[in-house]
Amino acid sequence: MKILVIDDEELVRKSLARACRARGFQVLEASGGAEGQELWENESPDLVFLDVLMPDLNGPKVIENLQGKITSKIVLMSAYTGGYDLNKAKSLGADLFIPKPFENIFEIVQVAEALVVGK
Amino acid sequence: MDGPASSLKLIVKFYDDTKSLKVNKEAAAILINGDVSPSKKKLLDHIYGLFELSEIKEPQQLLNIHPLTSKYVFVSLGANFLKNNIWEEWSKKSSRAMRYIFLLESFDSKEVASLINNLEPLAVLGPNSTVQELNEILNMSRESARDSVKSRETLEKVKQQNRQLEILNQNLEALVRDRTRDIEVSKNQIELKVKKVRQLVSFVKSLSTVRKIEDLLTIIRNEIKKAYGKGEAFLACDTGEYGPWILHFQRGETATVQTKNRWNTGVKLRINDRKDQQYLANTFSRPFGRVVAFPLQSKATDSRDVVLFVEHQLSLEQVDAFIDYMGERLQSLSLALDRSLLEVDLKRASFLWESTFDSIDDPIAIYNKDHELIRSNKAFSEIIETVQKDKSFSSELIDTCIEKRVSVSRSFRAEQRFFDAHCDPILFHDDDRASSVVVHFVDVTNYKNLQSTMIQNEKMSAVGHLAGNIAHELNNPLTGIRSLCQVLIAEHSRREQVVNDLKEVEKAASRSQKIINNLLSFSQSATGSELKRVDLNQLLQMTLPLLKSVTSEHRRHFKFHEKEVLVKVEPHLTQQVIFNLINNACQAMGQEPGDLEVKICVQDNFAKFSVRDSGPGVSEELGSGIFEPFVTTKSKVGGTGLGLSMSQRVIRSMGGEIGFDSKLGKGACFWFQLPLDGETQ
Repeated sequence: MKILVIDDEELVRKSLARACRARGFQVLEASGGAEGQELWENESPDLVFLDVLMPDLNGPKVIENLQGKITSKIVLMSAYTGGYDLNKAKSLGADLFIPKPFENIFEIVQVAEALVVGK
Repeated sequence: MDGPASSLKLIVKFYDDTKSLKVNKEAAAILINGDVSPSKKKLLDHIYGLFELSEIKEPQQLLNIHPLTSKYVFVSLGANFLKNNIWEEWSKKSSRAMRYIFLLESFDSKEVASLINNLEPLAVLGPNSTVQELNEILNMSRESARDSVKSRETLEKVKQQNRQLEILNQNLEALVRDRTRDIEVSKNQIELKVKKVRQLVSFVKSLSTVRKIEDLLTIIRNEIKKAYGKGEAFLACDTGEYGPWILHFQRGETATVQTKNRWNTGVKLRINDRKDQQYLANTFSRPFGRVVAFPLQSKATDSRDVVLFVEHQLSLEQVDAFIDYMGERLQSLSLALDRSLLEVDLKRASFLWESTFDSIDDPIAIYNKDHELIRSNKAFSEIIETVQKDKSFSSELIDTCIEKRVSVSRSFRAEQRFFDAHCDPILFHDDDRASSVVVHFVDVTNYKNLQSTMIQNEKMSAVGHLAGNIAHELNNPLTGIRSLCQVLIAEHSRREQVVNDLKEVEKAASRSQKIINNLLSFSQSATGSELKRVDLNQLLQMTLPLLKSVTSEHRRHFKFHEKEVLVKVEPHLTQQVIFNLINNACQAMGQEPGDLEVKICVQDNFAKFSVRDSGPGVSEELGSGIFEPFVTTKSKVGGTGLGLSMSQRVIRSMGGEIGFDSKLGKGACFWFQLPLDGETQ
C-alpha cells in the first residue's frame, strides 16, 4: 500500500511515516500543501494523511484543487478542533477526521489501514 | 328876738320852707337858752340867713333831733346855762353825728371844758366870735363833712371793692379748686394710662426676646392671665408645607396638634362665633366655652393664615374691654409671630438642607482659604482621618484651587475606597483668591473595581484567546514528540534503557498536552454556550459515573435535595465544575481513605452545591487567591492550576458564585451556588 503524509510538522510526519513503514507500507512525505498536491497527483497513493493547517496551501484547499482527480482515501488531521469534526471533514471530501494530539500513533495507522482495506 | 314867739315863727317858717322844698338852705336846729348879747345876735342873724332853722325850746327836745333833719345844732347858751344838769345827761346821750356849735356868753373854763370833753362839739363860739369865724368853722365843717363823706364814700368803695375782691377771690378759689380737681383727675387718668402703657411696654419687651413660637404662646397666655385671670389661648397656624396645626397648652407645656380641617378664615375679628367654638370642640374633643378669634396678619407671606383663639368666660360688657386690651397688643404679636414663624421656617430649611447634605453618599467638605474645615457632611466623617493624615492633600488640591481659582481634581484613596476628589473654588465678586472651596469626593470604588475586573476579564479573555492559539501551536509539536517517542519505543523495544528514557519523554509530552487541553477548555468556557434549564440533582447523577475511580477509595455521602433543583446553566460546563470540585476533593485526601460529602440544597433563592473532604485543608491565607489561574497545590500529582479558575469563570458567567471554607488540618468544603430558575421550592 502506498501512503502519502502531508504535514508541515516534521516530527508528526516522521513518526507517522515510520509507524507506517513498520507495518510494511510505502510512505511518501510532503512538508507542505503545494508539494503534497504535486506528489498526490503524480503518485496516486492509496491513502493520504492530510493536515489542515499548513502555511502554504491548507488541507481543504488541496482537496479542492484535486477535485475529481483523486481516488485515495483521505484522513484529515488537525489540532484545531474548533470548526472541524467528522461531518465537516466528510463534506470536504475526506473519509476520516482525526484530531490531534494522537494518543497512540499505531492505533491511527491501524484505523487508516482498516479504512483502505475495508474498501 | 323874743323867745317863744319868734321860735314859733321860725318853726312855722321851717315847715313852710320844707314844704316848698327850698334846697339851697341846709336844715339845722337851734336852741336859744338864756341871754343873747349883741355880738351873738349878729351871729344868730347870720345863722338864720344861712340855714333853715327849726327852733327848739327845751333842752330835752335836743334828744329828739334826728341828724338827717338837722345837720347842725346851734346851741346858744346864756351866762348861767350850766346850772341846768340836763346838759350832763344830754351830753351822755347825744349822738356825735350831729354837729354842735355852741354860742356861749363866756368861756367859763371849768364848765366849758367839761362840756367840750363830753360832747366834742364842732365849735364853741364866745361873745367875741365874729361871723367870719363862724363861716370859717362852717366851711371847715363842711369840708370835713365833705371829707368824711368822701372818706365814707371811699370807704364804701373800698368796702365794695373788698367785697368784689372777696367774691373774685372766692371765684378764683373755686376755679383753683376746680382746676385742682381737674388736674387730680387728669393725674389719675395719666397714672392709669402710664400704668397701661407700662404693661404694654413690658409685654412688647418680653415679646422681643421670643424666638420660638411656643414661647410666644406662653407669653400671650401669661398676659391674658395677668389681666383676666382665666382664659385659654390657642395659636392656629397654617404654614402650607405641613398642613394646618394648632399650638396649645397641655398640662403646663406647649403641644402641637395637627388638624385635618381648616378653621374659619377671615381678616376680621370674630367675637363668640359659634363656628369657632364648634371647630375647636371638634378638634380637641371637649366642650368649649365662648371663643374670640383674633386673626393675626402675617406680613411674611400672604398665604400664611394665623389665628389666635381665646376661650374665655367673660360677660358681654367685659368682652369689649378685653378686645381693646388685646387690640393694643396685636401688632407686636404679629411682629413677634412673623419672627417665630421665620425662625420655624429657618429651622426647617436648615434641617432640610442638613438632611439633604448628609444624605448625599459622596463625602463633601468645605474648606476656607486657611485650610480650615468649615462644613462637611456625614459621609465625610468616614474618611476625615485619612484626609487629615494626607499632608499633600491640602497643599496640592486646596492651595492650587484657591490660588488659581480653578477646579482641581486628584485621586484619593481611603482604605478600601477609591475617590476622585474634585475641588471647586467659591468665588465672590472678582477677588483674586477664592474665599473657600468645596471638595467633592466622588466614590469611584465600584468603577475602579469594575475597571479592574474588566481589565482582568480582558486579560483573561486575551489569555484565553492566547491560550487557545498557543495551545494549538503547541499541540502540533507535542503530537510529534509523542508520536515519535511511540515509534522509537516500538523500533528499539529491545534496548531497555533507551525504551525507559523514551517513555519518560513521552510522559512529559503527554502531561504537556493535558495542560494544553485544560488551557483550551479554559479559553473556551461559557462564551456563547447555550443555557438550559436542568435539575442540579440530575446533573450530579450524570457526573458521578465519571468519578467512580477517583471516589471509590473514600467513604461517600451523597445528599441530594428532595425536590427538583432547577437552574439555568450550560450543562457540560457545569458538569465540568462538579467534576473538578469532586476530583480535587478526592485528590486532596490522597491515598488514605477519607470522608467525601457531596450535598445539594436550596438556600434563600439559590441552589447550593458543596463538596466536603477530610483532607489536609487549605490555609486561609490562600483565600480567594486559590481561584487565580496557575495556582495549584497539586504540582506533584499533576495539577494544572486551571481547574478552579475555570470553574469560577463558568459559575460566575451563569450568575452564581463559588467559594470554600477551610482550615488547615480540618479538611475543606468547596461550594458553588446558582440562582434558582422557576418553581423550585
